[in-house]
Amino acid sequence: MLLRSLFLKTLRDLRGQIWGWGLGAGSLALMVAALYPSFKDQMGLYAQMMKGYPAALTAFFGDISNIAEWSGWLNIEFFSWVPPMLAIFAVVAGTGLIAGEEDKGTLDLLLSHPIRRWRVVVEKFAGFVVATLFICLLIALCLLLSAVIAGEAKGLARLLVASFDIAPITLASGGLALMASVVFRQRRLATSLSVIVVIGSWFLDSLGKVVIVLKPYRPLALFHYYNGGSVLTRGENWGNVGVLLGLTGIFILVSLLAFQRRDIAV
Amino acid sequence: MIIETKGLTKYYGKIRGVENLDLSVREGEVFGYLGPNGAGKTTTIRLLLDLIRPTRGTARLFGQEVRNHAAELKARLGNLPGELSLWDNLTGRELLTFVGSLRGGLDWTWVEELAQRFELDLSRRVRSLSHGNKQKVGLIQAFAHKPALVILDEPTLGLDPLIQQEFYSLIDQVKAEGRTVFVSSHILHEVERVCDRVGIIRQGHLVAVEQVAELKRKRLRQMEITFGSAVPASEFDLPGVREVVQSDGTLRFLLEETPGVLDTVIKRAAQYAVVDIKYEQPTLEDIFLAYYRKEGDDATA
Repeated sequence: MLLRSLFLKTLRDLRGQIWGWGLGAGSLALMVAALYPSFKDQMGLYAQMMKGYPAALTAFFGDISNIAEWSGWLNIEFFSWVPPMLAIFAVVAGTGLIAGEEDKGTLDLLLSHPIRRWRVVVEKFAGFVVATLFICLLIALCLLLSAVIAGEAKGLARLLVASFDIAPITLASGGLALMASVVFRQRRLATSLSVIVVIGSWFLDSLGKVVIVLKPYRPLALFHYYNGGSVLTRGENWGNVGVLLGLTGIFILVSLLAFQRRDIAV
Repeated sequence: MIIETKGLTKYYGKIRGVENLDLSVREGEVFGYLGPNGAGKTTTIRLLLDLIRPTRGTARLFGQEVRNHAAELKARLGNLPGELSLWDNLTGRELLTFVGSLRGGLDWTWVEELAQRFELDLSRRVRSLSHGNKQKVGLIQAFAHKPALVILDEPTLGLDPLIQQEFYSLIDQVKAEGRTVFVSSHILHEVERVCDRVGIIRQGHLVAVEQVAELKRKRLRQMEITFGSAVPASEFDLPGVREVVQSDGTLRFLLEETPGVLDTVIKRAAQYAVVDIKYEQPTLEDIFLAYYRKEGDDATA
């Protein structure tokens, strides 16, 4: 059934990654939830310990003022770490969409059939989008389960939104990787460049919180527009979502134009 | 014309792919595209499929420029890529289902018949197939939708001889149905077996287009005779014998494949003490050298 179109085949090819990353991040959520009750008891100690750290260091880890609360705990222990991890999925999958097939040589076979090049890019990226949403869904389910385990039944709707808020940054990273792979043709080069840009942007944004000289450059970082755990306390920031999805759109557009014009490598 | 290229040229940076290719293939013919490895056969085919874009010149299929109508044109053709790569996590049947979906479905009775003729088990995963069996999957997907034009890049690579015969009879069948085949090969006898006309490509240039019958007539065989003592080359200045070269007791020359030539040569040789005879099918290279020497520097380089 999953072979009825290029979109479905792409989704099928990403099956393993969906389960792996979804359940991997999901089990982290469960672990974080399991640790919460014991942490909660010692939060005084922990908060004191954090006070002892330089302000710069604690700022790097995020807003720790409410770490003793469930939302603050999830923010620090889950939502700060999962997106940079998923960025690796996004980069690997993103460069794999076109350049992966090109490296393997299967793109010649695919393009021997009556399918337009722009359509190859669109259907493949659509497969990646749906795969990302599936991963977010698995994360959401595990987080909801975690909330039940931790006895924190309030704010489940926001928890759900926060789970899917991981999607825009992942899509932007994947779009960037796809663009790099289409423009530079070589998957390895595209992967390295995308990892540097995506992880570099995570560092830029995180360090920008504490290093004054970097602060003005934070808006250049993709991760600056990731809302993270703040969704739990302040709700979704749709402006940021819009920026990430807009950038994704631009990356796809550039990919379409570049792929339309260029030679397929042997 | 089903295939027509004019001044088709492709450079990869400074590296020559093909140059000034004027090729025309008529409807219903089986056209062989013959040349040594690296001559530009695959480059030509990838240009015809719009996988790469020409540096200069144009390529047309069914009268339409491939650059602007690639997807529509591909609906009417089947292609077996050279150095075929398949999605190896699929079974043969899954792979055909997928590529079939890109064409709006396949006639599975015909697909099953092809698989049976090629003795291919479609339920096996591509990864577990031998090179020859992978090639069969590639062939089946190229013929599966009964296209008006089949483009095949080195189709018999890795096929065992019996399956090769089956492939030849499939080509005959396609030809009998009035469809067109463009097949690249570096194997002379294969081209002779299935093709009506042959284009010969060498170092990116189309050096000749011949009827196969004509090519056969021109075919030369190479002979090398070693004598007990030196024999003057002039002794073999016989009709149908060319390019006699002497080194010590050995004479090397080319023979035309016309009746009587071999007999005359053997009888002349018998007048001397013969130590050894080598008699070989000429390689393509020999044919090029013998017939296209005057075509210019490129053909002889």
